[in-house]
Amino acid sequence: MAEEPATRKQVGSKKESLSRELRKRLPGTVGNLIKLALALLLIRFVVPAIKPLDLILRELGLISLRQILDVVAFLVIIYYGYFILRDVKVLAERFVDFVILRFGIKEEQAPLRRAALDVVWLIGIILAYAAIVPVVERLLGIPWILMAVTLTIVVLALVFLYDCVRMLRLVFDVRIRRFIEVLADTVERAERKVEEERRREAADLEGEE
Amino acid sequence: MSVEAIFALLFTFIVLLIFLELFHRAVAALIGAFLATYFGLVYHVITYEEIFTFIDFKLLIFVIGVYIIVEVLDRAGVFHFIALILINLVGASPRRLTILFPLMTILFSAFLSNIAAMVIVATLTVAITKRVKVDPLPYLILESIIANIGGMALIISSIPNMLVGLKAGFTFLDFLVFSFPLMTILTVITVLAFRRTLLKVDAVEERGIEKFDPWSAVKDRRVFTRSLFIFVLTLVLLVFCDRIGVGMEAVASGGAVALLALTGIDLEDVLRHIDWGTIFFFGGFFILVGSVERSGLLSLLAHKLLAFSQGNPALFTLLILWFSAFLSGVVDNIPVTLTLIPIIQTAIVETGFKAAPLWWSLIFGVAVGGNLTPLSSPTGIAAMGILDKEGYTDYFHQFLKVGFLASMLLLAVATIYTYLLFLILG
Repeated sequence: MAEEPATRKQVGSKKESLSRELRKRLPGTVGNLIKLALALLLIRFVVPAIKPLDLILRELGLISLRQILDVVAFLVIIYYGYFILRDVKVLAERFVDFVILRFGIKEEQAPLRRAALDVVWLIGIILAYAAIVPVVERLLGIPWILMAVTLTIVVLALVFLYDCVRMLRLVFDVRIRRFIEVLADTVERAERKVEEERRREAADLEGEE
Repeated sequence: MSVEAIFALLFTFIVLLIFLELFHRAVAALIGAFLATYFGLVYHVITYEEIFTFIDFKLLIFVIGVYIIVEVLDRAGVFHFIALILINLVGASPRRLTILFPLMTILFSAFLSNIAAMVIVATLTVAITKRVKVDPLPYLILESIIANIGGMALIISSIPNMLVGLKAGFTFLDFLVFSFPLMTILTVITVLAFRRTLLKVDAVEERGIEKFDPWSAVKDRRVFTRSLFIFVLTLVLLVFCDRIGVGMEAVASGGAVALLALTGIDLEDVLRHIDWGTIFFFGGFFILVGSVERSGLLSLLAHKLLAFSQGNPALFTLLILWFSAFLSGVVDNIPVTLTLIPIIQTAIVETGFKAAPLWWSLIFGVAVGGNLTPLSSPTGIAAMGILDKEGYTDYFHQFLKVGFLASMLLLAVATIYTYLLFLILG
């Protein structure tokens, strides 16, 4: 069975710190990853062993055993993948929150301003890369340093890009919700009007009778 | 990554720092200068010796000169004296205030920086409207719009005018002939268009107030007389400086030195009140724009704009007008002007378009664009600050209702005027 790191109530409820989330989710995620790897390895090693059986099954006109194992592998990936991705998503969210807070972007700021600050940092990071690369190449010339710098920059850039998109989505969601509310209010008002007219007509008819 | 891309990112980065007010604009510009120098040297776009040639020292001397003159005149009480005389002449009934306040705003923003003009007029407005017992908010909105328009009147009226004027070789008289009429037209249109809707003067009861003593604004009559005399003399010399054979920066700095020497006002105190932030901003932004220009990015942008206008000079002129207006609605009009100057220069050199209409369209565009939102220009922010102190908090929303509409109306009129100017000068 896949390991449940947190109850359904806890997921998506109040935000917890990165360290707490790591303590809570990392063991489960690692466990699920190992189980997934083991299951996939088993399938991978079982397949060559049952090759002769596969031929027999085909001769009998049944579904090939390899196809069955492919479906099993697919189901295993979905099953464990769901739990792994769910935890990784929460961890990634906390990691992004943790990093952007270190860069001075606070949660209390308005989403649009926060997205703009993300863009500022994103450009700043790209500029930092453009500034560092020629120096590293010319003065040091050590390939792994360049690789490490590139990796760090890519991770940071992804963090800010993710936060920016997250904020823009939030703004979009709020706008859409507001629009829907306005639309629903208008429809409600129209419905009420129609209802009132109907009642009035009914009352008029009763009066005439 | 190409050099153009790096400099495009750098420029966007600095503009965002200014726009989001993460740093004082001077600090942001100096960061930009430092980074531009670094990238320029590392990517072989510029040489170290070239960097200081980007700074326009003539302009810096001119701006410092004008700042000193204005500071000394303010200390001598000249502006308050003129304001009180105007109030006595026109009268301070609510209906007449709709004429008086715009008139004062135009007069002061023509000679002072927009913020200084706005602070003086807004302070007087709040004081007078309190006495007459009317709401100062609509008057301040009108003044904020007009202060931006007034910035296009003379070469000394605003920093963009000084920048473009010195670069294009426009004289004091050129501004009186080409820019002043548009300023007058736009002011009249603004007052007529918004007098009823914004100020609702018809609904206000007429209430007069007692006369003011203009000399109450003057501490020392000797200093006042000398300041006024030197100021008038400086204006006359600015008008005729091309005939004398000296630059405007020499006249402005000469006027400043004469004022300091003859009025005996403490130099240290005057220097402490000068807007050094703007001076440092110039230094930094000149280096940034110079480097960006060397990277070929501005030339690329100029070609894009030319391609968009399909090589049509009239369309390109109007494009500059609208482009600069919308840009200065978002970012401070000084960086917009500094950025568009090399773009216009490239267009002039490469296409042979007549230069004058292009320069005028830039001056008109950045002046009108300041009214797009309450935060588009420093005048709006200054007005908001003064109203906040007095407990009026609705300036932002009230301005939003009329500011954009006013900008569109004024831009439409400016478009017609610029096109006529293009036909005459082209």
